[in-house]
Amino acid sequence: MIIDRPIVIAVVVGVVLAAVLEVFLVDHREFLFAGSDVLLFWAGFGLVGCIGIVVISKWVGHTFLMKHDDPYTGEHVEAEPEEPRDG
Amino acid sequence: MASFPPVVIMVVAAVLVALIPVSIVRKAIAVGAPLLVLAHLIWGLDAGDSVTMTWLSVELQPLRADALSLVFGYVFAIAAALGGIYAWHLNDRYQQAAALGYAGTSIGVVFAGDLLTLVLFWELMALTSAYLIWAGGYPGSRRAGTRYLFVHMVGGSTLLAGILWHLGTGGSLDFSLFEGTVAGWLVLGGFAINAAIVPLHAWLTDAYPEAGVTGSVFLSAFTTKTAVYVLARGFPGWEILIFLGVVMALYGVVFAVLENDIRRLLAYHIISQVGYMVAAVGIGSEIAINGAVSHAFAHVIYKGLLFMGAGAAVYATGRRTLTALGGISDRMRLVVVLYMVGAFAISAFPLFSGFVSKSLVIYAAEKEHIYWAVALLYLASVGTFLHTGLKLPYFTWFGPRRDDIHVGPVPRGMIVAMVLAAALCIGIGVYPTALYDQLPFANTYEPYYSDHVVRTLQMLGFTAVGFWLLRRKLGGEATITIDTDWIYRKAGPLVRVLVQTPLEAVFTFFERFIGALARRASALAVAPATGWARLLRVSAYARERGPDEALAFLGRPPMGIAIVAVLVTFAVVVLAAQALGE
Amino acid sequence: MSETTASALPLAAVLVPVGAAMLASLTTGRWPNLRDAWATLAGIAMVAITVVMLTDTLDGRIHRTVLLELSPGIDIALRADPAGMIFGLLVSVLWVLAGVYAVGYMRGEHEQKQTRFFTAFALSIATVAGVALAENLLTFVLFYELLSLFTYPLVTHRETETALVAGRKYLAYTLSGGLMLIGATAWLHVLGVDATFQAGGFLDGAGLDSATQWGLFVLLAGGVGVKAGVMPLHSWLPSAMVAPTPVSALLHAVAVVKAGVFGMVRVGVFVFGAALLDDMGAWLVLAVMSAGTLLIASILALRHDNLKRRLAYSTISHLSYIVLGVALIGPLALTGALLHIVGHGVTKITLFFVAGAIHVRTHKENVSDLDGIGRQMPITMGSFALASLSMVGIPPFILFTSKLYLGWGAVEVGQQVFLIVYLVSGLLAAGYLFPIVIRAFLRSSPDHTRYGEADVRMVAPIAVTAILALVWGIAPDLPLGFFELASTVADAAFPQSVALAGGTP
Repeated sequence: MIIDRPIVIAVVVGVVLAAVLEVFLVDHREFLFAGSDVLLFWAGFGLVGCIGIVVISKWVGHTFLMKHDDPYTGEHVEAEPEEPRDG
Repeated sequence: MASFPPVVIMVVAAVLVALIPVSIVRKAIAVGAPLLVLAHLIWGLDAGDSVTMTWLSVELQPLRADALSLVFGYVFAIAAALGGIYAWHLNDRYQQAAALGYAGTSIGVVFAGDLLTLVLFWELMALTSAYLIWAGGYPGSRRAGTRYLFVHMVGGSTLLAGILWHLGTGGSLDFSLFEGTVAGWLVLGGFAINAAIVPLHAWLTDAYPEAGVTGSVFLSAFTTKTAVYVLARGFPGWEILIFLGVVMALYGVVFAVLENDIRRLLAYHIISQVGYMVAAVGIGSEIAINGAVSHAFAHVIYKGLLFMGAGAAVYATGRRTLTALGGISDRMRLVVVLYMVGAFAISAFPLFSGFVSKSLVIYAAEKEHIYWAVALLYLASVGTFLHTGLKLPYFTWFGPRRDDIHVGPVPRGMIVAMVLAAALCIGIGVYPTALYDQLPFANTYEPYYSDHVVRTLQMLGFTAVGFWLLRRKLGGEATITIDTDWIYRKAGPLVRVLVQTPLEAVFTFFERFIGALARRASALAVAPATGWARLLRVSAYARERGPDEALAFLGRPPMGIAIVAVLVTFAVVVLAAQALGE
Repeated sequence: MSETTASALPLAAVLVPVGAAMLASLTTGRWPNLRDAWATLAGIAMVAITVVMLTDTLDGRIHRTVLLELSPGIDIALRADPAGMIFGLLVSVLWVLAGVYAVGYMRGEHEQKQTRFFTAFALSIATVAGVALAENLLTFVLFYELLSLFTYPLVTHRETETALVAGRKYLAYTLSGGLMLIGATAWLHVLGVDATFQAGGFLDGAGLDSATQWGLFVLLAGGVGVKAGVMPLHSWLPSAMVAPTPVSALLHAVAVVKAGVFGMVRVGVFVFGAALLDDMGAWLVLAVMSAGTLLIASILALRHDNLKRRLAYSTISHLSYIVLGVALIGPLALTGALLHIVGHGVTKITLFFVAGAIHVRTHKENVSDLDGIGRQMPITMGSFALASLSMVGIPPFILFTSKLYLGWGAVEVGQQVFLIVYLVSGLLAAGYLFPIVIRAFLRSSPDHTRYGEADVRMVAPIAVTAILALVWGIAPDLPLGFFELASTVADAAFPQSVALAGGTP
């Protein structure tokens, strides 16, 4: 995880902006499920969801699914394969 | 003018394109024919039009126009025209013909009023689209295309089994709602393969990136969306589809994290997006069906745009993977901008088409109080923006400039097609009524209200924050991801060996055994027949080798007599039997 | 109901090829063009005769010729009934095309003894016409036996050791089958049963006891089962592929083997009839054996690299489609089986024609050598591709249409498992045919020899049969009324369910 100054500023500005938008613009909060009407719920949903997806997927991928050798041909997968241009 | 099935125009066009040697005429037809179909759909057909005909002992309905089929017809015609423009640089008449045939048969499926017409176009769709993959020209294209074709053959056979089962047990040929009988489940299975429902989806991500850049634009539009159409027609309200759809939506997202090939990444997001539509069909309410249809409509356009953008990068650089690309944004700015329009659309940003269609699906789930689906579909939206909106463009185009990558020119036709598609994405997003008015049911939903807009912006904004935090982790990795195609690619040959080898052994044994018997028996059987053959040869012998040879030939044991003996025996048996009978 | 009129036309249909054989052997190799023209001219004459009879058959006027009256009630007689007409029309139309093709092939291959070849070929066709139009079991058996004999010199044509061994095997199998038929015929005469073919079965109501019925069933079904290639009686067929390709194409994909399955139609529908097969439970025996055959043969076809052998196994599989269609004893399945006779004939002959054309041009006979051949012989391989689609059962080709009725018929009689068998076999067919097409068009040729298309006398029949496979799929009645004939037979065989067969679902 990269935590540097720009990201801290971005998060702070983002949180403030999101909260302002929500408080001043939204006339009525829909209730979908427990917690979905809490302030900044959807911002948190986006952030946590994003990180969760990446972490879980990468874990599943690295543990089970991703192969450095092509499982069908047995060849090593090159980072920059030379491929013919499509006409 | 009497109404006729629009597929006719496309098939004629495909045949013409395959035959006409003049390149510019072919291109004009490839764009003109879909536009003609569009005109025919708008001005030539009305909901309620139909054409019926008797074929052998059955009644067919090659044309049935109603609100559901018309809206799919519109978007397929638009997609085919855009694809034709995108492929303007292409000089491969068979690929052009296959693309037209593929689009045309998809339109044929949509307007098929009976199940046999449906099967006809269903199978032809598989064949024409397989050609687009074969024509890709990559080292893996031929095998990928063949695998693709076989999966679809299995799907087509499952469908046909379901239809015949349905028909033979008192069902009608008319294509309408199916019931939960064996026949219904078989038909659903056939449809599910084309809809890329997990775990029957691997053909899609296996094959689409192996097509050419223009081929994959066409592929992204039709097969899965015809499947959404037939599901909406035959299986609305089947609850299992809600579950499967949500699984698809998330499955595609997870695998997109792992994928390095940019068009395969987009292909995983087709599965994810079609998951929304499948879930909506499973919900089955009027709003949900509207949601499935409108999302399919919007999806065809924005997914086409995304494939066009990624295809332009592949075309210009000759590279396909995230690890091989990056740092070229300043050399293809316009493509990046247009791609991003598609990315915002698929991520359901307000003012883009995905926002007005995806919301309808999620709203339908809300209305039916299926909140777990609501939450998980929102989560899939997060993943969608993360990949197609952030990760893919970032690693394909941005990052430190890389001079080792040669960026060739992007053909003008590609740009024109992308501009038009982008205009549609924004147009629908800004003025959703235009789309909502085409839907099968009257629409009352209004996507632009403050809570919804703010909620979406918060969620997507903080997805971007998450991406920025994790961007080092997200770069492409030079790996191959195993998916369910592993089963038939690895285990298939094994099964073949296990089944065939013993069979072969049994038959070889049997053959030897029979052979020994046959040799003994043949002493009896061969004699007359050889004699007959010799008899036939006598005249030739006499002419070719002279009378002496012929005499010698005749002088050999008179085999001819044996054949006469068989015939005499036969006569005697018959006569004796006759005598006995009397 | 139909009426019978005495007419010389059925006899003429048999005699025209005999005439061609005689003229060909008289003309000899001195005037090869004239000799080879006889077959085509006779083929056209035969088509004309069958078409004239067809219009009357469809109107319910059946032409009939009595050749020989052995005693009252026992005749050698020919009759143009709807079932026979399907087979007769198919054979005569394909004979014209095969006749043209054979000229190109035999000359292209510089085969020896072409006069003998063309003579025996024409005689075989004559006997097939006899098999098709036979009015009763006795006549059927007579021509059926002659067919085995006349085709023997064609199988052994090359006179190599393999050819002779194959010929021996061929005779051992087919004559044994023939003996079973002779036995059954004699037995029936002893029992005093009138063995005239009747829709619904002449044994139905003949008052035979169960053991006799089963004995007759084994002899008759076994006898025709040999030529129909029902496992385990099939192995002569792959061996017979040693014959020149026109023989494999017309005789061992259409005429001889179809005489076997046509015999199965006669035995199933016209000797026993649906009711009796149902009572005996014999349909199940037949159905299980043919279902096993069609799956096993498809699986074995996957393994053969030799193109003609692969096609031979495919033939075995498709013959059992038809046998299974008969065994299912339902009007839709029977319609499908009869259409499948036509469809498989026109489709498989295309595939064999192509195999021969490739051999003449390139001397290649293994699938693995066919890389890139499609770009060099585009019309030939394009036709092969179309025929492959038909074999797999892709709409709107003829074998889709027939399989549609076969599968529907299986469900109609409540035997869904056989529907699945049909469809699985279709997938296996894709497995053994599509790779050939893919290889031919998508791989590049390993050697640098530039082969072109074969002689036009070979390419034209190939293209015509491939197009017929498509046209007859869309309109099987165009112009020879195959569907109408087939549904007439089905209506006559299952009078109680006319509405089902002829009506709308």
